[in-house]
Amino acid sequence: MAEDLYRETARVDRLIHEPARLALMAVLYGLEEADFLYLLRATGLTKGNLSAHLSKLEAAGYVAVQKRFLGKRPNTVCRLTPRGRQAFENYLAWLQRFSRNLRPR
Amino acid sequence: MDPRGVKSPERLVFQARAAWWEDGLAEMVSGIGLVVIGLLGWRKATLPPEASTPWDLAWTLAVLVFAVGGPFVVRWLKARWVWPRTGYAKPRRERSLGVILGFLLALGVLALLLVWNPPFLGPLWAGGTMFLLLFSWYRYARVFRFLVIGIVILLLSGILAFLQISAEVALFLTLAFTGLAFLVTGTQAWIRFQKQQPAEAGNG
Repeated sequence: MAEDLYRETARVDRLIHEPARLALMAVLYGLEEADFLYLLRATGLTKGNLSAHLSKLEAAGYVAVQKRFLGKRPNTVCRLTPRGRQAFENYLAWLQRFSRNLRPR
Repeated sequence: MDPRGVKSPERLVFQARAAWWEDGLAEMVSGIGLVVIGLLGWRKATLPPEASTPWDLAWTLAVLVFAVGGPFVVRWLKARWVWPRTGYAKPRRERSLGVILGFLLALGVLALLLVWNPPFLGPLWAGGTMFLLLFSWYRYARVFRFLVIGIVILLLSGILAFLQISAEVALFLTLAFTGLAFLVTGTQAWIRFQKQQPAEAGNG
């Protein structure tokens, strides 16, 4: 049992495991879509950091990024792809199993 | 990331789900709609059938206007006053089997309530259905005020049941009272939002 958990932990999705990206995935999981400003405010990341993490998640196919204009203003809208949603659900399930095994019996 | 502000993934998910209600605008618009629909319905339900035709028409019109126009008004208000300051976030529509079955069950209960018109159970059913709806919102987004409104409405339905009010009148009074509660909590949320949010910010 403990060995299984160890193996599972070794295979954890490191892309999501990073705290800033985990926060981003969690916020997007609760929504249909959100723009760059909302994500800045919700995660507390800086603009540069947010942009870099979004690029990594987009490259992995977890997040879809759409750039558009609202009037004359640029607006970046992000949403989780079905693949990203599934990856986050798998990660949450692992996190719950992991924390259950840490509790003293 | 600011380590002082670290939250669990589940908390962030709930916080994102609650974003739609953060400013109170959706509650205020639904509140106005429910008060108007509830009061018009109450008026038509207390008149004899031959005198209620204009009120029937007004009620049907109000339901159509608020059901179709309400979401547009909320989006327009948010686009004008909220999203330039906090950013845009669209809530996720849950289409799970549980949500669909719950909605169909609520519609079935409503139809049964209006046809059967039980003297004592009617108000309790009206209040109970509204409580379940608000409780499901609370569970989904952890907006605590929905739970409080739900409990108050459940208590109110107990009083209406004790007064032996007809199911139809109880239903409309429950709607009007829910709308009033939404107006109060929505206004409170809007005032809090105005104090907490920064001035308009740019987007990347």
